[in-house]
Amino acid sequence: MTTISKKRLAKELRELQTHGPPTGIAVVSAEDFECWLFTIEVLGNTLYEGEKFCLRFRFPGNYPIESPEVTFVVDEKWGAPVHPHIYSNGHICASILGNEWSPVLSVVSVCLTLQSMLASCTKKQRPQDNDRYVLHAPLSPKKTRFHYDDDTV
Amino acid sequence: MSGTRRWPHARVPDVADLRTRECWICKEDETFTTRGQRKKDSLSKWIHPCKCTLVAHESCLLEWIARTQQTLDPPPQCPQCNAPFVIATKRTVILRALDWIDAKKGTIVNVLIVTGITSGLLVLSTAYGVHALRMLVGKEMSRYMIGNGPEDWPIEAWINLPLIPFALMITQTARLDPFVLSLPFFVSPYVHALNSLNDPEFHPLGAPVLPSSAHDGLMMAFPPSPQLLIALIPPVKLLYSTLRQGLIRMLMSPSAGGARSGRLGAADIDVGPQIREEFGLRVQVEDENGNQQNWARGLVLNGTTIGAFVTYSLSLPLIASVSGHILRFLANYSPGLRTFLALDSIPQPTPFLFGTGVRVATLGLHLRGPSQLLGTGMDPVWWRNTVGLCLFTVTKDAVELLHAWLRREEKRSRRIVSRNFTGVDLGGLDLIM
Repeated sequence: MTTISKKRLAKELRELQTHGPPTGIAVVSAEDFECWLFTIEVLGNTLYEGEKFCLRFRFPGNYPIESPEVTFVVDEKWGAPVHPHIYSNGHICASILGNEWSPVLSVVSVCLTLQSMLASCTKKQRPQDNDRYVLHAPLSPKKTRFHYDDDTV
Repeated sequence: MSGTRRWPHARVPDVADLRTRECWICKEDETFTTRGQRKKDSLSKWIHPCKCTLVAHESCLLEWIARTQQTLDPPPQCPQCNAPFVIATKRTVILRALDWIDAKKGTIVNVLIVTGITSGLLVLSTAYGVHALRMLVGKEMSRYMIGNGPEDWPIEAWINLPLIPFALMITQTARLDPFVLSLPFFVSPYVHALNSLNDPEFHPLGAPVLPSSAHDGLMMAFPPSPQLLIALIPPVKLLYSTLRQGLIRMLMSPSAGGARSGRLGAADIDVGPQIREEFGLRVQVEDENGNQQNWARGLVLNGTTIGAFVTYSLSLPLIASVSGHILRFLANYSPGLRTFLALDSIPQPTPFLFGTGVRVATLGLHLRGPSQLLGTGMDPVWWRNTVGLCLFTVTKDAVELLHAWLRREEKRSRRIVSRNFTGVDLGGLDLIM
């Protein structure tokens, strides 16, 4: 249902433009209905103070019924935040991007959830299985079957 | 917004009463001022399926449910308030049945796999059974007993023939002696029910069938019939293994040989290096302190020993056949052996009787058609095969026992030679001067 997907993304984009993105989040590019880029900052007194990250949204053809693929950009300019649920290749282990995704959620609500996930972090560290995962990780985190075990972060 | 104004109507408002509606799936919104206007303009029906304020297009909701859930069980829920959606649907009995089958597919497939493997094994063991029977009793006799092919087989043959390989394995176990004894009776009861002994229709060789009275009573004849021989397996086997174990104890007990104190019964447990039969596998325990634990540890049941056991058991018909052929060949040079193997009776036109009355279905096979007067005598392949197999078994056991005994004797004869201190610095030794 590409029409639903386009209509819905157009609507989300329109709202971003009229109301502006939430504090700490800025649109880098949203040229088409396939891939959007945002910068994300965690404001206030957190472990990530002064750091800026880049989030990439890729939308499947049947968005919002299917979840978007959300990763942190890792290249020469950007890096993935050091966080127990974020792998060094930028893949994020968050249930709302997997089995708990529902069309009620949106690009903005995912950004806000990730922002608060970073804000509530108490210890900067990589996931325990980071090296093993990164070595064998599929290109898209949606092909990974994450086991969501931690509700605290 | 009309938050401050009271709802003026008696009825509870529904989705059609909302001024602005936004589908929570496609985010499309509509704003209307009157109730009547929207019905024609709306592209899709609007639904309020849950207990919170979310509303959606019916088409969007159905699309979402179809994509995320295979069946409506459990019912889909609102992602915000978790209220289950009530869905009216035409779920016919046939669809329900097919869904149920789909859900049980795993179990059904497993059952099919097990059935497939079982019937495969059944076919395999039946084929083996036929082949083994032919080898053991000879072509003529097997044709007489079960006919020319599966179309001739009596019903019980379908039960008995596949049991032959297992019966052969059971005859090779020492542990299951009591079971060996019961084996014929284990199979026979229902075989009796199906028995077509007196079935006048059954003339595999066109031979006349005696009146049933002639079947009763144990008729001894020479050579013994296959039935009688098979019926004798359990008692003979028990007797043989008792004798053999006695011999093993006598030869292998620590006191035997060198000391020759003649302790037989008392030496049962502290048998030194001993040969034990466990599940038909000969397990040798080398430990000189052979107590109970030691031979329990020595019980090796691994792939190789089980494989050897199965292979040996299943080779018995071949061994019997080869031994029978050798005996037959040797009989050309010995008139006595020729008589013993009843080879002289073959050309005789005089009929001979198969000893029967022992209506046992043995070795998993109920042998039909006993007591039949045959126009021509059969080559008693089964008899020389039995004799050959017995000779082979006795020889094999004797060689094994001899090997174990020689090994033990060699160990006992070991003495270590003591040397003098040639080449050693004598100053380093504390010697008695």
